[in-house]
Amino acid sequence: MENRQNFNNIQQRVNLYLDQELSSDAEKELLHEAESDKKVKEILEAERGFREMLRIKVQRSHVSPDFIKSIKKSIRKG
Amino acid sequence: MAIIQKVVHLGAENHRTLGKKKKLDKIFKKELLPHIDALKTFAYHLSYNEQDANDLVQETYMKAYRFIDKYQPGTNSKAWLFKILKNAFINAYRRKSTRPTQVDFEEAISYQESKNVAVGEFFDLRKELFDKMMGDEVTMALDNLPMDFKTVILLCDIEQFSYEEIAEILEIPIGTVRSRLFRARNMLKEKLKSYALSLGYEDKREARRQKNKSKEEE
Repeated sequence: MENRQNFNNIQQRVNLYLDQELSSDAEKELLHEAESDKKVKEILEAERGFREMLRIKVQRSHVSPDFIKSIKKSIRKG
Repeated sequence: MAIIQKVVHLGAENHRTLGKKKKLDKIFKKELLPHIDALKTFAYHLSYNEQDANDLVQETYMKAYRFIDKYQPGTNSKAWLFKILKNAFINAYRRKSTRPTQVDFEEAISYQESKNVAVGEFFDLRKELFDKMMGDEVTMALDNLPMDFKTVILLCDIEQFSYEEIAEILEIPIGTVRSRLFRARNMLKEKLKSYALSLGYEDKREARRQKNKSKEEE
């Protein structure tokens, strides 16, 4: 139970760090922990990899020039 | 004389109107249109349907143009457009869909808490798992998340919005953004792990543990 809470706590701080939502002091503290604690470093790397995977692999859409033209046309029509 | 003055006045008025329209068109082209692919991606993942996504994007731009006077040039046009799209989606799907746009958070939280151990194990699977994952599977896993959870991942991890911007787009407190993201990512990891296992990924950790144990004993 304690391990799980500890894991969640590290994971939450790592999330905030990677989302650039951690204060600079908390950020320094986390990076220091990652240097000295293998588990923290592993969680940090795993979260980083997870985000990278999402960024690369989630399908993105692109619109055609014709679609843009049709939007402009609809706007002109009002 | 009065007629000439009136014509001159109307001419000036037309000129001003044309000048204003030209200015608005320029803002539209330079600040709003560049976000069209991102909006289409968001719309597609919300609606699961190409045509509905196109309709949502079109509606978003028409609304944005209608209210362009309220937009301050140089401010966060992307967040403004995403908020318009999100509202358009909610309105459209409230009317015609049975798909839920809200989730039962109590249910989701208890689901997540019961899965915490498995989520922790995800980290041991990551290398093999990431290599095996195809884009389609990742996209499918994301699209299968409850709407509120999927939305925060799309806004944060795909579109790189800050928590403050997400709070503004979704009209929820920042604390909710933070907790929802945490749960959403863990739910997604759990789904990806299930996909990996169904693809034939073998959990080799127990074997590794045994091997390490025997080494220690030697």
